[in-house]
Amino acid sequence: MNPLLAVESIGKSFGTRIVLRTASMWAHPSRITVLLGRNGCGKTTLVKITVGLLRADYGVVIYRGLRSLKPRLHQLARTGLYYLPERNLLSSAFTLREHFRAVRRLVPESNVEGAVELLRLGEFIDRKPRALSGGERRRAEIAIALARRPICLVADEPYMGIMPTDTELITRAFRELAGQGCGVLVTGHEVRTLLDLADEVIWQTAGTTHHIGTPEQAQRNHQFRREYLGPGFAAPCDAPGRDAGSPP
Amino acid sequence: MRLPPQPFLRAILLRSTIIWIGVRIAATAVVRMVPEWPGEEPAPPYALAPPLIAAVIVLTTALTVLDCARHNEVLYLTNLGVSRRTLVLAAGLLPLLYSVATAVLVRL
Repeated sequence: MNPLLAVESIGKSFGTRIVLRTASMWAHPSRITVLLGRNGCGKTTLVKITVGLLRADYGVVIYRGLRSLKPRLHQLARTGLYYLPERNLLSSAFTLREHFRAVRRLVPESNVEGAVELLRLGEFIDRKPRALSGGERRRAEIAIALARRPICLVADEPYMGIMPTDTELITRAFRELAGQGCGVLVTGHEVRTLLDLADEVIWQTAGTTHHIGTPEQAQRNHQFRREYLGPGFAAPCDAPGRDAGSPP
Repeated sequence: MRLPPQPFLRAILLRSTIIWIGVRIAATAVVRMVPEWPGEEPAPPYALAPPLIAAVIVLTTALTVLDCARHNEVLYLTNLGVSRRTLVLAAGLLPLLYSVATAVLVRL
């Protein structure tokens, strides 16, 4: 299966500090790809290069078959890509209703009602983002992505600082998007949630990326377990009958 | 070219108007504080030299775009396919019109 979005052999340095050497990642239609890696390993840098907010020193971004050395977000967005940054996507000057109205004006095929219902935003629709909690704001940002009906979603740390009920709703939204044929690429540190969500896992370490397969294969990967998950992480395959979400 | 949707476009136009008024008043005040050269023909009150008019437009546009960024609107609109160039054009349109109109009016 050809990927919707492929980022190949990306290199990036900031001054003398090399952040990325040969990092690659991709998103396939109807699949959720999770990018894991320790803090500061360059996940956000790789994501920003992917969506055109940063320029790579070398490497190429291929989106829907079109190769680009320097993609631009507005051009990617017009062909169906949606980027969900770590924080602050919504305007502090407008209510959620006005945000959704803007989506509806620019994307006639949008599904605002479905997104508002799925992420339970009905009671907040006339509030401005600053009147919402972090989790509610995150749900609203993801609802806008869902309403936009993207072909490819790139979400940078969507689960950061989110309570469990919001986590569940956000996971449901990502699955809904993948179910509609969207390629979803998610980064983060919430290992259990992300492994539960993922169809495939990419591990970023030492400036490069490793495709480590399905979540089950990832949890069996000796190096990934030793260097990233740590000895305290109990995979479901280790303890038959144990719930993946329960503490080790 | 994809224009920002309402109400974002309205907000950009309103902000650029407010910022232009502030910048224009400040520019006029600064110019009036500068003494005229001896023998120089006095300029009409509130008139600005063309380079200063251009500076007012550029500064207003830049401040409007910065204000949009402060409200997280640049990324939101870019995510909806609105380019930064369009945003700059929208932010600079009214300051340009106001500046031309004012330049004509103060010389009448």
